[in-house]
Amino acid sequence: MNGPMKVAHASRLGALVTHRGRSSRLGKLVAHRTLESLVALAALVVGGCTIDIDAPASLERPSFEQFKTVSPLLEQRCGSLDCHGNLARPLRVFGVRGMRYVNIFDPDQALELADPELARENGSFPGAGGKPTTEDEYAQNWRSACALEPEKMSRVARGELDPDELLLLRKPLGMEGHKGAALFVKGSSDHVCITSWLEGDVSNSECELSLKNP
Amino acid sequence: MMRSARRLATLAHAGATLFAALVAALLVACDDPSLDRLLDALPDEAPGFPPGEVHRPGQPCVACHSPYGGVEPELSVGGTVFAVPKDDSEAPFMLEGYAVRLVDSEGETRVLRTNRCGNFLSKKADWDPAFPLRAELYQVPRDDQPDVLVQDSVMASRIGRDGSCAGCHIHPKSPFSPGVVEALKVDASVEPPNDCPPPWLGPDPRLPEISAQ
Repeated sequence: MNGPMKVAHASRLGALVTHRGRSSRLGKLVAHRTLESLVALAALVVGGCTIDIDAPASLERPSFEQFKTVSPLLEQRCGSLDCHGNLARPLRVFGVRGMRYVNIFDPDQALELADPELARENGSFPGAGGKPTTEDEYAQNWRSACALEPEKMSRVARGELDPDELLLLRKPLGMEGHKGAALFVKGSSDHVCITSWLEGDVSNSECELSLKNP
Repeated sequence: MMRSARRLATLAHAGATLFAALVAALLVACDDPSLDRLLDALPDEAPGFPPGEVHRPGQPCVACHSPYGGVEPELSVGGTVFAVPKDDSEAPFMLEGYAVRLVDSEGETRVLRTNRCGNFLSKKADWDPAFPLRAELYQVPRDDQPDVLVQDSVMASRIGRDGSCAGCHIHPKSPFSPGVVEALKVDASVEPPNDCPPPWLGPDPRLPEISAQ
């Protein structure tokens, strides 16, 4: 019932702006397109039902161990407290230069949020005097980087996709809108540091060099 | 003909309603809840210190002095330099005689000097820097030689986008704040200024929000 009514309505709307004969053709066209869309949607739904929901996900991620060489670059370039060193933003970055990771499921750590004195004693604050970036923070940063676009990241890790297709690089390269603007160019030590990790052979020298950039 | 005209009018009315709803939705979407929370946490103006260059030390200047905050003049950068006593029972106090050197992404440099209440600022009309910025803190040891600067410290990270130092530098130190902008080399004989409003020393309005997560 709805279909023909909608078509008739579309036809009437068409009549307001076109000649009577053209509106009739428009109505038929809309009806045809609607039918096509319904068939396509039905095919999609039927196809979608065949997915094995119990099958394990097979997303691959670049090496965590190698990421520890890359993390200081992300901490320096992306993780300031007014940018990605912030719980409210995608690609959360933790570390000695910015936001510190507090595991709220660990009662001892969670206390640091309520007790600044304890946070200070534990060096759980950014900047001078704070404890170095922890293993937990490396892990969180790795998860952030990989979870930004998990499917694409998996394809990059398999060597099926150019790393520059990732938002992780498109944003700082200025190829995608980025509140923090373009931060580095292709071929720079920053760029090579990250892409080398994504390609499975992190360049320690380029990552070290990137940290010396002003 | 008449029916067509009526339908056109109905269509126009529906379009206008839709447009108005869209504008209303966009206006609501322009609210920034985290900035609102920060603004709500700030105290009122201290008695005897009307708006001016020494008012509200330690507060996030650009939060108000921006198109969002609606206060003139618009600032690009603003903050307060503090001394933090070794004895935790004493509160941080503001420092005169310091300079903050900022270098933007295009190499433009500005040296902003603290006034008697520790505040320093740059109006956006004077300097609209390209973020991120590098920040260095200097002592100005002699009043008669203001160009002689002695380096105190260098900020470990860049300023990504927020011209308010106190947008991140909120007392006390916590997992989400390095504490106030602190001069590390302070003469022990320096005392808190007399004729200044009390500084804003937190609490960090973000902490309850974070604790709740």
